[in-house]
Amino acid sequence: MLDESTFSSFYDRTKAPFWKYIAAMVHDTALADDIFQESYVRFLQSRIESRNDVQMKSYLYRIASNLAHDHWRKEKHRSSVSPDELEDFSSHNPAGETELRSDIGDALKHLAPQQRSMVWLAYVEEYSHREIAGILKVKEQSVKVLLYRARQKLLEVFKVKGITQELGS
Amino acid sequence: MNCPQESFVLHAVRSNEWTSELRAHAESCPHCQEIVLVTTAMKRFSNIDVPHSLPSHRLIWMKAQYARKQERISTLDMVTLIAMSAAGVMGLAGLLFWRFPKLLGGILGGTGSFPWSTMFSGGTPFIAAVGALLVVWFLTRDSFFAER
Repeated sequence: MLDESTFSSFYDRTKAPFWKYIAAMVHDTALADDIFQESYVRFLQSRIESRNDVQMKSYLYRIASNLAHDHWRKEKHRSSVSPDELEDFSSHNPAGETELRSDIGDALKHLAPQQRSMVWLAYVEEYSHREIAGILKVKEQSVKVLLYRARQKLLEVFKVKGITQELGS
Repeated sequence: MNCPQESFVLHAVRSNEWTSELRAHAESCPHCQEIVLVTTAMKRFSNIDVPHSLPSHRLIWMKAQYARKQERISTLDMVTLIAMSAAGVMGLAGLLFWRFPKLLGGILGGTGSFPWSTMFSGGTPFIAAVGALLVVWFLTRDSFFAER
C-alpha cells in the first residue's frame, strides 16, 4: 500500500495532465473535477502494491476511463447530448491560442468518447497501443483500427475548419 | 496503415527533437504526415492551464482514508449481524429444547418421524419463539439486503 509521502509526489506529478485528460474526455469541468477526485480515492482504496510509476499511472487512467464510461452509459439512457452542447474547457484560457484550441476541442467532440480517450492517450501521453488496450480494456488490434478512424475523422474536421493550415504555419 | 517509424516521429513531435533523416521521412510518408498533424494539434490543445486550482493531496488522502474506514465498518456490520442472528437462533433453539425435553428426545431418539404432536402440545412458547424470530428478521432484513 502507498504511504502518504509516496502518494503526495505521485499526485503532484500526475494531477495536471490527468485532469486535462478527463476534461478532454468529458468536456465538462464540474464532472471532470468529480471523476478526478473519485479516481484518486479509488486508486488509494485499491491498495496497489506497485511502486512503478508507469503501472500506477496506467491504473489511475483505467479507473478514470471506467468512471467516464459509466457516466456516458447513464447519460445515454437519460438523453443524448449533441457535441455543440458540451462545455468547451479550452475557452478557460487567455486569448492567443484560444481560438485554435477551441477549434481543436470542437473537432475532438466529433469523436466517440472512447476514440477521444485513445487519441489523448496515444498522442498526448504517448502510450503504446498495448498500454492503451490495457487501460481501455479493448483488444490491441482494435486500438490500431479505432485510432486510424479517429485520425481520419479528426483530419477531415481539421480541413473543414482550416486547422490544418493553422497548424502548418 | 502503419509505419515502423511512427513511434519515433511521435516522440520527435512531442519533444521537438528531429534528426534530418527522420524529418525527411516524415515529409515523404503520408502516414507520418498524419501523425505529425494530429500530434501537433493535440500538443497545442493539451498545452492549456487547468482553469482552477486542484485539491491538495491531503484532501484526497483523507477522503480515501474515510472511504476505507466506511468500507471496514460496513464489513464489520455484516459480520456482527450474521453472528448476532446465529446466536439468536441457537439461543432460541436451546431454549426450546430446554423447555421441551420430549421434543429433543423425539428428534435425537431416531423414532423415524418428527414429533409434531409434542411440539404443538403446549405450543404457545414455540409459536411465540418462531414469531419473535420472524419479527427480528423483518426488522433487520434491510441490513441483509443493503447494497454494500
